Amino acid sequence: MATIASNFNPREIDNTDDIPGRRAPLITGDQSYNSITEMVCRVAENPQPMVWYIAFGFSSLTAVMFLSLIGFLILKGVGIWGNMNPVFWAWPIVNFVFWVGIAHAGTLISAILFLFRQNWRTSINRASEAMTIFAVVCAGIYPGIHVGRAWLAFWLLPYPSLNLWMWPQFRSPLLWDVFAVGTYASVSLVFWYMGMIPDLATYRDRSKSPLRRMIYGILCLGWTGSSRHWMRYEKAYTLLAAFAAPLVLSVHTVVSFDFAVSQVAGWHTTIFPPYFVAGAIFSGFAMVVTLLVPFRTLYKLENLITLRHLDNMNKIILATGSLVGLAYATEFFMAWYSQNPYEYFTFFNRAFGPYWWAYWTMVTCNVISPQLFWFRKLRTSPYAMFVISIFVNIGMWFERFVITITSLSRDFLPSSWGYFRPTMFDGLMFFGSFGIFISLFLLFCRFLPTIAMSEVKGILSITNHAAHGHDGAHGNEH
Amino acid sequence: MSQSGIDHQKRYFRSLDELQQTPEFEQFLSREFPQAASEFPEGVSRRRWLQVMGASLALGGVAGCRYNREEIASFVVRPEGRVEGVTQQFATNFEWAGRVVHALVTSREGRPSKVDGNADHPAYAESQPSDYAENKKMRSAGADAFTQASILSLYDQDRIPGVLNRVAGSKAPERYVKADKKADPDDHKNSLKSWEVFGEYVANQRVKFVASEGDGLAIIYEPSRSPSVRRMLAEVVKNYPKATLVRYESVFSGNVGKAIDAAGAGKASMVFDLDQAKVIVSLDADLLGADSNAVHYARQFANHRSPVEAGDSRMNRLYCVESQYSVTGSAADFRLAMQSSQVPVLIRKIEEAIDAGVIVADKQEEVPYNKLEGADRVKRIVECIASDLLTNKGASVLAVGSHHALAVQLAAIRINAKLGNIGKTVNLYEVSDEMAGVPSIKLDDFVKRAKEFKSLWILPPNPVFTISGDVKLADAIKSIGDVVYLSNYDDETAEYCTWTVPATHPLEAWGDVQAADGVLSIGQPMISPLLVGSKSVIEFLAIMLNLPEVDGQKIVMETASQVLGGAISERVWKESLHIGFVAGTGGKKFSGELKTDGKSISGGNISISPYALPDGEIQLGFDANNLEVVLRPSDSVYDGRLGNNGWLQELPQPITKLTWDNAAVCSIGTANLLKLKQGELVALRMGDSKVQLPVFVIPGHAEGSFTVNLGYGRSKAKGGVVAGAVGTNLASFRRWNQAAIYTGVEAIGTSVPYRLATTQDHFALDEMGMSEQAKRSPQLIREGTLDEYKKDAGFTGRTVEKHFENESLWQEPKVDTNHKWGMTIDLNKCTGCNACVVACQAENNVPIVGKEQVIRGREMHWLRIDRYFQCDQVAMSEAHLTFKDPIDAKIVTQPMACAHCETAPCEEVCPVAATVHTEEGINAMAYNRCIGTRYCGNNCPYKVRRFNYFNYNTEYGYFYGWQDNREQASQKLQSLVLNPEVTVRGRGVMEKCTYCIQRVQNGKIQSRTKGDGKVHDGDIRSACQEACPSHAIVFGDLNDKTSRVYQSQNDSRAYAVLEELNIKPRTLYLSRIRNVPKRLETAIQTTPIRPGHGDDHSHESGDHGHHS
Repeated sequence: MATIASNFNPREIDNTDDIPGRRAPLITGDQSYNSITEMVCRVAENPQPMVWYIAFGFSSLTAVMFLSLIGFLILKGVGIWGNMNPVFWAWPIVNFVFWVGIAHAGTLISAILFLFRQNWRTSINRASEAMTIFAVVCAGIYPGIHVGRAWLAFWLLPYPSLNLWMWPQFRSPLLWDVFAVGTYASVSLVFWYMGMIPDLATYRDRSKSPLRRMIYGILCLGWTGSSRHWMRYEKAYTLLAAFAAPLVLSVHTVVSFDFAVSQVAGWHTTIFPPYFVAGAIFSGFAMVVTLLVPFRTLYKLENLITLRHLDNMNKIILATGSLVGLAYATEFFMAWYSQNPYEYFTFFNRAFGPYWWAYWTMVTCNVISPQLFWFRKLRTSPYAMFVISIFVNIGMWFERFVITITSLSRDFLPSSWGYFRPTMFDGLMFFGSFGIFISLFLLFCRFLPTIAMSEVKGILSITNHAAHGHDGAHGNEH
Repeated sequence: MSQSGIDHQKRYFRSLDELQQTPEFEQFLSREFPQAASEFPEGVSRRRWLQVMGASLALGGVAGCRYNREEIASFVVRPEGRVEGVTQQFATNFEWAGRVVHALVTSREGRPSKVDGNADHPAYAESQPSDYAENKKMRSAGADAFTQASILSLYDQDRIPGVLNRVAGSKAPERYVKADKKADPDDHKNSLKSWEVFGEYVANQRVKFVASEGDGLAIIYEPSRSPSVRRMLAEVVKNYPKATLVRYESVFSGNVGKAIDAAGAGKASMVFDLDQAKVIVSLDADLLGADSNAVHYARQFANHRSPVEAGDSRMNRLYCVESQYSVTGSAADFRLAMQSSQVPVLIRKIEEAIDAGVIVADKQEEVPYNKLEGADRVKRIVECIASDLLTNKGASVLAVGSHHALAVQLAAIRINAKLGNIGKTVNLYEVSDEMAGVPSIKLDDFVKRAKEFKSLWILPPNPVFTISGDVKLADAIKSIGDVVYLSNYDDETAEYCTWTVPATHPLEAWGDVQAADGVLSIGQPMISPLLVGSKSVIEFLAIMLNLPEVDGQKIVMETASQVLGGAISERVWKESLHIGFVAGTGGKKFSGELKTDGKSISGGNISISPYALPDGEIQLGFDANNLEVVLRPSDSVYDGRLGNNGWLQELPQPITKLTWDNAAVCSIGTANLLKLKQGELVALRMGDSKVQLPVFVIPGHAEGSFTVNLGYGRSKAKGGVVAGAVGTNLASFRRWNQAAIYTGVEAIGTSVPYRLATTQDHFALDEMGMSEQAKRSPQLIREGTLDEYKKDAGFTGRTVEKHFENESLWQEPKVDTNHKWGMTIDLNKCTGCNACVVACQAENNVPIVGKEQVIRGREMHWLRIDRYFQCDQVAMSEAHLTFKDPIDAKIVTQPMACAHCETAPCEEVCPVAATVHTEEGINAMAYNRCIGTRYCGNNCPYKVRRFNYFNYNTEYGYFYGWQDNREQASQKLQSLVLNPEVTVRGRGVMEKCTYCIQRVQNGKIQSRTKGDGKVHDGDIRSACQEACPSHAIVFGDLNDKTSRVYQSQNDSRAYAVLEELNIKPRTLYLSRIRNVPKRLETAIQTTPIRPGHGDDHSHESGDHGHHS
């Protein structure tokens, strides 16, 4: 049963070749509806491998540490971080933007690629969407605890209060942020959940324990697989995709307004919205690669998440990475071309000032490392791409660090310049957010359909057709 | 009852019965319950009950009698019209850290909360700017940072709460132990004792002294400017003729007095009249900063800093030659950095030039001053100084630092006499000398002869700490059995003393001082001693001597009567308290001929050959074999006595901006050549003197010279919560025979790092940062020479290129019909003395944060003084120098607080509308609404917003190990200093300057209730404005066309910092004009680089704003 799909070495099949006139298969192996169901369902149904327990133990401990540190933070004050005058925003905001950026890939893959009928999205969209949700969770924590009086953070919401009839201040980009991230989180969540309904029904049907059956039964909202259900599902999914697609662009645009609307030199630039969006897609895809490479190996899903998927993502990483590099160059050009002395100094200072190490780490990781993906060999090697994707993650964190901290540390009045030094708590709380992220992802693998079975099955005919139509090419497989 | 000193309170009777000593009352006193009470079960007769209750009632009713006896005359508000909640102000005077303070103390419900200068005191009244005469409301006296911070010392949590007794030889306790808590068997040896116990001890001692006529008794005293203190000390010798007085001055300035005496003016104080001086030459004399008359001088100096010549207004010229960069140096028109040890040579050269009558016409030279080398440079400076002095005979001042040798002091007096300045710009006021004929010895003699003494009284604060390392005072004290020490703290000295008696703060006691010009000024208590039983020096001496009068007020009245030459009448006394001085007193101005011919010297025991000043070449460059170290009292903690004052500890020192520390300050060149690095320790050695200190590099410091501030390095256990464990103690380096200047020093760098807490980026900036700073500072602090101003009065506005008028994205607040508050800061008057910084802190409950937090950049000052370096960039690029080694660096300072921008960038980014504009244009903070996103802080281009990262108002010293030392009770004591009109901010909210909005509101209320309903110019003064000695800060209504602030904002020198951001700040600055002699102009001063100057660009942007 389960051996059907994994009795061959997937590395022998290269579906990354684009031979003219022929459509390369999106999934490999001689897959049938049943084999796909089997492959995906066993991720949750079989006992988890040892690695899962080790990873979860570690990550959940880290998550607990993070939550305890939040408690400590609220008890003592934000002074436990390294934030200072003039660097009022430091690691927490860097982490926030970092996580929000990562949160971009999922919805982009599900919504935009869906609208563009990119069928290769089907194997990876579920996991990417999950990653999006979890990244938003991590991102959402930071602005809340970052404020000086976290217990009053709800004042950011436009709620009617009885003792103080006032709205928040709508000119503030921070408020726009609340709406943008809030909308994005809720739409992504709905989109993710809705897409899971048919698969949850499959899980329900296959459940042996009554409890599982009941829970999945509730979650799949009585899905029967009738054509009427399918018709409504497809409509709703398309509508949601259409609704989510602009959000992909808007959320990071609005996040970039936090910086661009202020007048801090190095923040106050019009290039920020596209630049942030490109960077976000870049980092999001990198994180997807980072997660999926071990994930497909661990659960033996190489036939569903094939090298072609990874190759496609790496191409996007290469494209967005180059975009980001172009943005860096443009920023420098504009700093010089505008003849604004403050802006000019800020950019010069970024590259050659006391934070040069952060800047050049960023450039190396973000601009140079993705260029390796020009080589097909590296683009299709899981090891290489795993390493490069981690470099990109590091680079993108440093990008936010460079933007936030170097600009603030030296702004208009030299008398107020400062050099930011993080504290132990800055580091532990950034590390801790990964605990939350990984724990949630591991729980997702354990309990929810990690690959959109129903959608993969939808492309099965195309794949099979393609494979069967050109027997000569793949004859040895049969 | 005979020990009247100790139990003098008993003379206040509690009831008539007590007065008559009736048996009933005796019984009432001796029994816990009155007789009737114990008889209660048997039944009380109605008559008896009434008797007892009557007695109780009488007891309760007369308990407050004591307070009525010492009346404090009110200054502004009549006592009968006293309104709860309305502040009162009282005049008082006291000695404070080596200077005399004529203060006006703000008191709230009997609690003093702010100290400012007394504008009516003759010392200040006469130096009001002439244009303030027509508007009395604008008058203010100003004060220095020490004075402003004195209020915090009153509520110091570490003051000892009672008489502290240590048994000789026993281990000193970590902290004093309250007598009732006996955990340790040693406790009874080191404990708080009641005044009765101490009284018994004193009585026993007195019996001995009376028998021996004071033989074996020594009293260490500090030279005082209080006639009463001097009188009481003379009284000691009268009562105990064989007692020995030991004179000790922690910051030695005795050479000035000696020189005056030697010159034949007797005992006199030298006061300059800078109002009359057109040329001021300051040789290592920090006239506007560390000088004891600095407030007075700053006022007079600033009176003549207007570049527009009209009537009384003109520009004086200040030359400053000094080793360290001082406040005076940064305010000077011309400054030369030169080793302090070369001042004798320079003064000799100046005198020679004056004798030779060198007058050189002041015209631009071919070679600019800063292109000259060594001897040529010195020659030109000397020529300029001499000819300026000679052309302004009788209107010039030459001042030398009080730490210089007698010969230098004499030379200065001689030059002033030759120039005919004595009696005109240099006044010698006769000082009353109550101690005339009373012999005294020096402290080192005392230590050598310590075995001769059996008893010792110590009056100056903490001599064991302040003494130089080669005088073993601690050992001497230990060898004497009976030591009584009058002190505020259980400090290093108290550790060796048998008894430590709590001292009063000047605001708690009666006292008096003689102003610099000799006017007798009375100090009245603002509050009863907070710590019961503390005594002022005069009360303490009276008690120790068993004088019939131990009441401070009586002693001071007696002194005043003596000064006036007859009993002071009640009426005169009350009036004197009211105005703060005794009218009609005042020293006689010396008007005779000074003996300055160099041959004869009179006066006491001085016999020296004073005119042998060294000759030679002045070395301006670095010479490794000729290093010097100059020790100066700290601008923050003086000699250490103010160490436990958090405001001062955290006050950025004027030039270095260093807090919580002292350091070896040196120039960049010296540091490079000696391979010293900022923030690393350097070992300074001279013979067997040595000390290790962190290096602090500052451009413009003299080459081959280190300046180190005294007063730091208190031991952790003894320094108190604040002073403990910061800075380095210099005792191991200091030598008794050398006051301040140590030559032939060796400096060896170590690579041991040391973290210095500066509020401004220290000089270890990278090359790029330095060059950017140098590029920006001419725009931030606009400056030009007087010549340039005369040619082009509007040059200030052309310092920045402006291309077009900017539009606002948001609707701007409408302020047409309301008040429109604004502020102007005249950089030409501002000396950067820091008084405003502390005044703001005191007024607005600004917390201190501790050294660690300052290192983190989290200091809370609402008002700070920015310091920038300006250097001749053209000359530097020609010399291929980098900005790491700037040449001829000048320091410029600029007070910076919230500028209340009309289009405030902070307001539009606050998501919860916690910072908003008032109708009057004040950028207000709603603390309750603030949730602390800190976005406003990011968006503020001036970075004047401050965030409460922790609960700084209740705790400080985070991550520094001593945050727990503050007990609950102490916190309550310290919180008495808070201004109830200003919210105390908690953790997690932003705060910043509010233009003292509480004062604005009070002013508006006052105008409605007391005035004509209109706010007039001068009705409202911000705390910084009131504290500013030089009237550099003006606050007022910009909608009032007659207001000073309106006029100054329309001055051609007015500019807005960062105006190109279109934020429209309400605080404007007036550019600094330096009256540099043409011959001493640097290349950059003769041909300043300004946009729109000279080149084609002027046609496009010269007429900025009118075209687009």
